[in-house]
Amino acid sequence: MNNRFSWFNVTAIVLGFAFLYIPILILVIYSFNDSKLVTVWGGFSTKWYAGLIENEQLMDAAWTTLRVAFISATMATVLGTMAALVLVRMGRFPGRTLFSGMIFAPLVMPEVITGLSLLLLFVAINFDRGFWTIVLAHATFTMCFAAVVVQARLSDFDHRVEEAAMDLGASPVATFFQVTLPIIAPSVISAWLLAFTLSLDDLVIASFTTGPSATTLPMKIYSQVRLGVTPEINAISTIMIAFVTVGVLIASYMTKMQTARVERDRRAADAAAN
Amino acid sequence: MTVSSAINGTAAGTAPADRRSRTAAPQSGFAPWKDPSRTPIIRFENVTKKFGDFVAVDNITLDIYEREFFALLGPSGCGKTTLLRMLAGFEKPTEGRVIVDGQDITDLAPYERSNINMMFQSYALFPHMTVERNVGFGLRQEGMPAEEIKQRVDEAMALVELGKFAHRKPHQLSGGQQQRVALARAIAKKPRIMLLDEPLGALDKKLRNQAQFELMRIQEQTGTTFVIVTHDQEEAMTVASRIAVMHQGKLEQVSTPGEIYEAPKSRYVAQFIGDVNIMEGKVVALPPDGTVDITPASGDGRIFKAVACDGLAIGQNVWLSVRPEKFRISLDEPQSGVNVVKGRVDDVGYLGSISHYHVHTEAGNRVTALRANSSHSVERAISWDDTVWLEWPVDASVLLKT
Repeated sequence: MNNRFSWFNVTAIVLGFAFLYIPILILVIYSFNDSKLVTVWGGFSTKWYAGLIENEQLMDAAWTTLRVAFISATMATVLGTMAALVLVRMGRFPGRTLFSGMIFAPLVMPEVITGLSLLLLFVAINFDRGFWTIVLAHATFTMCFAAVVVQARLSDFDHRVEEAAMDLGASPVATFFQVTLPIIAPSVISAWLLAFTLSLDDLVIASFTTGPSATTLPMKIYSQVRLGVTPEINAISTIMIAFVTVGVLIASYMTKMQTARVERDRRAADAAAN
Repeated sequence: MTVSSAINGTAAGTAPADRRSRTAAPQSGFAPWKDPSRTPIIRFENVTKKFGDFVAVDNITLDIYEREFFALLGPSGCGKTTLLRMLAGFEKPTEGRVIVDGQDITDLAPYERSNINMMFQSYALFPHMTVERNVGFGLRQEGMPAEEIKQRVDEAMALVELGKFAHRKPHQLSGGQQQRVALARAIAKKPRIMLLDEPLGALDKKLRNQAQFELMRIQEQTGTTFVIVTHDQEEAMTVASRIAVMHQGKLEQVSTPGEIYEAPKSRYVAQFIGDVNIMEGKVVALPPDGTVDITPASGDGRIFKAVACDGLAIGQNVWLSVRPEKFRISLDEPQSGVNVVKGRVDDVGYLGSISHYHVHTEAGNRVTALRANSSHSVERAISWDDTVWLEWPVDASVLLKT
């Protein structure tokens, strides 16, 4: 009790949080700066946020980013779920180790390599680079993350539930859509959210695989920063932070509520049985 | 609760008595396996199942008849679950055929075996569906009209007395209630054959006893053929019309509970079902009265007498199995001199209605005898370190050749 707030623990937590969040805090504070100079405080203002709306290039980039993230996350989730199913369900088959190794390799592959190899592929098959090449590239590199998330859920999934469905006359396809998918849905949704977020903030792979027609927000921000940081950049970054924070909060709140409800129901059932 | 009311109901109340008469006197009651003109509903024909080098089921041929409550009994790893799963379609035999109703179903997938349904160990309920939707799942797969599904679901839930839980999710139910949902889900399909894989393993003892009688009631009401897998010999004895005792992928014996208990065919079966004392000996004489004289492998030269069986030869090694309750235990030496063992009481277990006596015989064996405490006296007549004689009738022991 008294140990929990010892000076050591308090110092550790303050230092830890400071290390993590002071840069972000500074970015957020300066997005409300009235002055055009990023390092000099000139009073409170929200004009940079208003200015964002009129900055068509930036808004275009944001819209492209969202579309890329949405489509690529969906593709990655479908492919990742399928890969996870094969890995967990098919048991031993020739080349299983190679298959699983190859699915998870992009997790540790340097992004520059992934980006470069995809660029070479698109050039080799003469695929017009632009929006769709970014989508494909993002689906490729986020798929392994989706597979990891779904696989974790599937490996503690009771296989007998699927057997029960088939025993009751459901074909394998019906079993998947009526039983397996609804049960693993929460992990499929988190896989999608993870893929979405990863695609949202990717700079390296998008830079390699895009063409002149499509620019994502991270690319836009990066190119503008090279010309000098403006409070406008701070403003759009703050919006992105808010976006992600709210998403994470909602997701964790939902998980917490669900766990609490299951726990409460179980206690009620036990009490009723006794 | 609801389970106990089922036991008190008329249908449930008469069911155990019916069954006992059936098993004790199979000739007079239900015994289709004795009727050569009957064709079995299930036939395993030389079925072998290998997992790599491990032989889970070893060349089994077995017939199960309509309306039977058939138990596959054995320790874990004996192949009983594999045999059941081959019937459900989850495993394919390495060799042999599975025939149901005269039709070879060896190669049919589980969802193509519409007249066989299974109740799973730990129930395997669909966690995201209400009880009602769980029970109706199989009927929805058939594309049955909604009103008809509703009616069949209500029927099945009434059968297991689950009506008021229709809108709950499985995690809102107790273990006993979940077990009944699993049963209702399989029975709603009105299968001809119902498979039960350790259906009551997760329940505590008291609830398990009630559930056994409930299973028997439902089996009789629906007229379904039940095949149950269990490692609990008491459960098999209670519910089954016939029991197959399995050991290392083979059938040791297939008989009624009464026959399995009173006339086991091997030491393995004798030891697996109930408590038993096994004494080794050698055949010394085969008198013409149909008995056999045996000298115990270790003893004081006294002769054991038992009812002879076919194919005995002088000098052959045999085993005598005597159930603890068949012994008469006394402080005085019996007059007969046949089937008598002298020993010293090592331990007395007083259980109220009966007492267990662990006797260390002169020959060096440990033997368990059982005696009903029929007199009122609180004093135990036989106590620790007493010298006692155990005696048993000639026809109370079973002669085993293996």
